[in-house]
Amino acid sequence: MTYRKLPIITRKIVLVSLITGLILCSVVFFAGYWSFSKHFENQYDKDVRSVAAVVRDFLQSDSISAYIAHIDSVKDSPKKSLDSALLAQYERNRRTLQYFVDNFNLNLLYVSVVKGPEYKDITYIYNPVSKNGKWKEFPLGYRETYVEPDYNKSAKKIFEEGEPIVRHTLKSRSGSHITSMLPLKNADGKVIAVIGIQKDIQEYVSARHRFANFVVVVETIFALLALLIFSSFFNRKFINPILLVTEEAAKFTKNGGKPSDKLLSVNNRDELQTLAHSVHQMESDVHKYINKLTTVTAEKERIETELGVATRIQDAMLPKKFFPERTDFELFASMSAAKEVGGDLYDYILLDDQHLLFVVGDVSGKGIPAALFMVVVKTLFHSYAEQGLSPSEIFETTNKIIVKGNTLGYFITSWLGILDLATGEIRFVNAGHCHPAVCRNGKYEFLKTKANFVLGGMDSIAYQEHSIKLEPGDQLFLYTDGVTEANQNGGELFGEARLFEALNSCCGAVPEETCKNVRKHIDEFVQNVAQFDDITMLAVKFNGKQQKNLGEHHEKTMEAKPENQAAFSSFVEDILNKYQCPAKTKTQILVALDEIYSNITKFSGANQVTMDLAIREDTFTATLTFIDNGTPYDPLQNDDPDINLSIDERGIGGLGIYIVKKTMDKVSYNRKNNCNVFSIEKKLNG
Amino acid sequence: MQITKQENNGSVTLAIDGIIDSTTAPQFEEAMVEACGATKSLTLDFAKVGFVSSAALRVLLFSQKKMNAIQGAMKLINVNDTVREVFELTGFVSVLNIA
Repeated sequence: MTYRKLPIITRKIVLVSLITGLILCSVVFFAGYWSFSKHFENQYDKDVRSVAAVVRDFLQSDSISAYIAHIDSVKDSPKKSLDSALLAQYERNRRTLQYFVDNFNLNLLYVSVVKGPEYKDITYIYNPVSKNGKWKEFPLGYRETYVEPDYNKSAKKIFEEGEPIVRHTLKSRSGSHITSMLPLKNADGKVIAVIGIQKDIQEYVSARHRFANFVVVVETIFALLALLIFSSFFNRKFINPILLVTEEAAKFTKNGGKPSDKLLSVNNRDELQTLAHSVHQMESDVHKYINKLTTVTAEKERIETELGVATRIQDAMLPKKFFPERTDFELFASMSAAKEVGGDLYDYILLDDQHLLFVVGDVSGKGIPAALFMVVVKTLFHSYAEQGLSPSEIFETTNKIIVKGNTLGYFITSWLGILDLATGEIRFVNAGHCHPAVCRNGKYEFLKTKANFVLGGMDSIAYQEHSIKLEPGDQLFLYTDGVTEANQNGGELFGEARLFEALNSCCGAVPEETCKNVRKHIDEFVQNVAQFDDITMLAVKFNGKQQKNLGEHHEKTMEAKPENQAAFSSFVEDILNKYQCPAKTKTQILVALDEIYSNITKFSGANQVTMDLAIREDTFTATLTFIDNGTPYDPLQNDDPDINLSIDERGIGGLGIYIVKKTMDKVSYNRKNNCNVFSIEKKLNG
Repeated sequence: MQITKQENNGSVTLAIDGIIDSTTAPQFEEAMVEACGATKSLTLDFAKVGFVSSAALRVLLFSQKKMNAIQGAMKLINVNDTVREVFELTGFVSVLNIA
């Protein structure tokens, strides 16, 4: 067995038991001791008193007064001069008293006169003593002066008050003894002498001592034994189960959260058993919950990962390229979903060079179900739009398809318009969607028309088309109710009034700025309150008929890598060849392409470049536009290099752009929609 | 781009075939570094160079400086009009020795 430190709880219990035992033993001891003493004292008192009473009765017939008178009359040896009859009586009585002393086991007996007022002068009449004792008998008439306050006080009490007294003298000069003092009265009732009976109580003191020793020893043995038995019982029945529960509970996490069956071995049939079994039950439950939680967490993580992918897929489905090369219109749109995926949608398609279709929609509900629905609707819109259907036809065919199999009752509100870029006319159809705002003459107003029924709600609905004509500079702002219903902590909604305030605060802004400005106002309004609805905005600004780039547009987008330069070059070269571009002009354009493209790949940090080559047939002008999403950089801002420097002073910085500027007819730089837009123009037949 | 090297009594002629732009410039630069270290008389035959961009200018400037430092000579021959225009445009005609 290995040594185990005594548990604190055991130590505490032993200590408390020890103290309690000690107190209990002490009480028992003192009670016994007191009762023992009292009993013996009473017994002894009674004994000596009755002996004294016998002696007094016996002495009633004696001539004590005569002896006293005689003693007072002679000075020395009063016994010799005593009358013979009196002497004979005295001797006879003395023998009787001696007999008492011997047979009652007294130390001594005395009959004496004590004189006041101090009661210290004693004159003895009788004084028989025990033969085996250390005392010597005082003869008749013996006088002594005894100063002992206790004795003197007792004598005074006897002679003056006639009261009997019992005195206990412990460990005095004559050892421990008990004395009964009785007054001896004459016929007149006057106290003439004191009878003293002294009995040894050494035996009683010793007995009491033995009793005390015995009790202490027995109590100690018994207490220790009881403590031992109690402790071992307590240890086995209570401490051990408690320690077991403590240990097993501590081991729980170490064991990997597995419940310990040892706990079930506690079968006390009391609360400890309940405790141990409850702890076991608790451990089992925790174990179960941990397992369950692990599964649930893993599942949750999987769903979150998938949701993350879904977010990216949905995000990728919404177009982000806002026609930076177009000058006849500008467009911007954004959607921020309240959850990972949203039920809002926007889309825009340049149907041909002259027609721009744009649409905003809001599926009822949110999250994944709405997102699934949104994907379907967006795809339908897109494919019908590409088939060249009119707005109302797009809605009608889409509606027909989504009504079928729409058992869950989802529906979508939507606003779709087709802008004629030549005339500024928008033909649009509204299916239960909130009215867009249109900016005209520097002020926004609602574009209100009677709304049609929502999509997906009912079969065979005819959607009525309306139209509006935009003037150059006019802007149309579409949104979903996530904008107007963005709410604050207090539940107050952003509302149409605030929306118009935001819109009117930057009326002439480009669409991107318009949307961002509205978003800023919303964010300031809602503070940090999480929104429960998707927020979608689309703004389109009509700039009027495109002055430049009449004719054919050719566009190519590739990753911004040096290796792709050859592909871009041949793309441009092929088109220029088609227009029978003179070789020299072609070379100049290709040199310019090399200069600009290498700048983009080296310095802009862009990951994508779009080249848009437009050939205007009326003027036979080629416009090549480079659009990259790199850091803003306007190469035209730099000064031209000094070409007259000597060779040692020459650097090569800025030469490329310098060549471009010198060989092209026109170069321009713009920053649009977070892209660098660099255009070069060259007359092909120059 | 193809570069053909010809040695004749310590002088070197490099015949370049192709265009020298930002993609081919590294190859041109490599050939030029080697040639500048090997000869004091370097001739560049530009007969088959369609056009050059500023990347080519960088290499030519760098090479000319190097030849000047070792008191060597570098000349360009058979430069076509398009390329010559670039050299004129950028003031390189006064820096380079163009036949």
